[in-house]
Amino acid sequence: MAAAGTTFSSDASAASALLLLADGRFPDGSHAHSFGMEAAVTAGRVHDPGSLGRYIEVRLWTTARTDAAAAVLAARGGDRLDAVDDALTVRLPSSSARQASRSLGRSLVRTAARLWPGQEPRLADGRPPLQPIALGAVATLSGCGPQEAALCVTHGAAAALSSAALRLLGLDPFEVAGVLADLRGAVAQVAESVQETAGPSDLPTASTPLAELDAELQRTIEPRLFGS
Amino acid sequence: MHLPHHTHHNEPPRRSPAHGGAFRVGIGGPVGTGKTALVAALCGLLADGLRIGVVTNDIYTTEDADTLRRRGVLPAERIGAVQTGCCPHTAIRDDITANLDAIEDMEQREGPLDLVLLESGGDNLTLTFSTGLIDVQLFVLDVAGGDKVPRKGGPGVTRSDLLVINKTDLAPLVGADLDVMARDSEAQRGELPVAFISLVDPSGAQPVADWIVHELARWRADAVA
Repeated sequence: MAAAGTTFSSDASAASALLLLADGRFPDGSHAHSFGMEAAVTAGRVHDPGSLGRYIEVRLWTTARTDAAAAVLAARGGDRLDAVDDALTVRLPSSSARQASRSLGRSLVRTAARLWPGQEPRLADGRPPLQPIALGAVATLSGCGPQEAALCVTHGAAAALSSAALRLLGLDPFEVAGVLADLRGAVAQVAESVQETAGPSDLPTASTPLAELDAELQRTIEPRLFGS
Repeated sequence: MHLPHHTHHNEPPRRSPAHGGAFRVGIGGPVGTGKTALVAALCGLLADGLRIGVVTNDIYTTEDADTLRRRGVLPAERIGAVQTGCCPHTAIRDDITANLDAIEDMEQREGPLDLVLLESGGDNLTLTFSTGLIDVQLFVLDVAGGDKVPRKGGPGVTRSDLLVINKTDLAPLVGADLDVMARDSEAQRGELPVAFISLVDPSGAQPVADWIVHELARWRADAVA
């Protein structure tokens, strides 16, 4: 595992590829998902910038870290995507979370098929990989590597959760930007912490019950605004 | 109704019929103008001759899809819904992947369709569909929203392929001047058509149904040409 605080060496073309993928305007289907935030808000667990920051930090070190490790393996290219997909699947206890991740993987495959025809990632049976695995493969296609793929996952998780909370609670956007700014260190540290992931069986297993519960509870909210 | 042949000057490239799949009609417009009622009426008028699918984009869950299923205008399997995360606009313009998934899933499950009606969540006057998602789009306003709305413009009013002004039956009750709406619409749209309708009786959607049949035939003819 890389020592915390290590800085990434990234050339400008890899950085520009990362910016492409991490841009909220990149069509990856994620705008319609809150990744459990809608349930967390409904339950009152997230209600202000402070509780939002704490919630995101926990998610970064648990669900997002596992996703980031899967993205690293897919971007590195040494393992079969099916093996990574199986390993990540068993680390997603919530069927809602699995379904959302598969759906978002499909969106990324669709976008990749238009940008890099014939090279879009697929499992052996033709299905799209789970989202982080598709993202890792797309990172390679776009011209960046495992470091950027992991950062894209961790930054994407923080951005998606905070954006959903902003919309649901009508938070002050400057305060939400402040929350994300405060989480920069965690976003980088979590991405760094998975760079040495050896293979599918080495994926992190950390979880947090509330993340799984929120993913499941989201389906029961009526009316709800987000797909997950 | 006047049906000019479209001249697509300076317009983005359209989805080619050669790609296969159904003719896709986007139906957009502000909240409460009658988009769902129009979709229901169109299904009633067109379902005998065409295999139709409907995809709704609700603000809240599946309200519009549920309404359509309850009305029994189509087999329930041919009515789908996508969620839009507070931004109905994004799902039909900036990131159309969820809608493309929904259409493709329905076509795979139900077999080839002739026509897909894609209803947006109610939004504002800047709403417009991506040409990567739909083939033609109509924008629905209503008389009760005020007769000054066409004058305000916006892409839905100025550029939609058909502007529908619904609830003409309410004009005398709300003091709306249909002539003003017609004149302002023409000033905004030039040759593009406008349909004034009332859905008190669902057959009131006939001018819109006729327009869709006309556009569908033209789209198919373009594929052969």
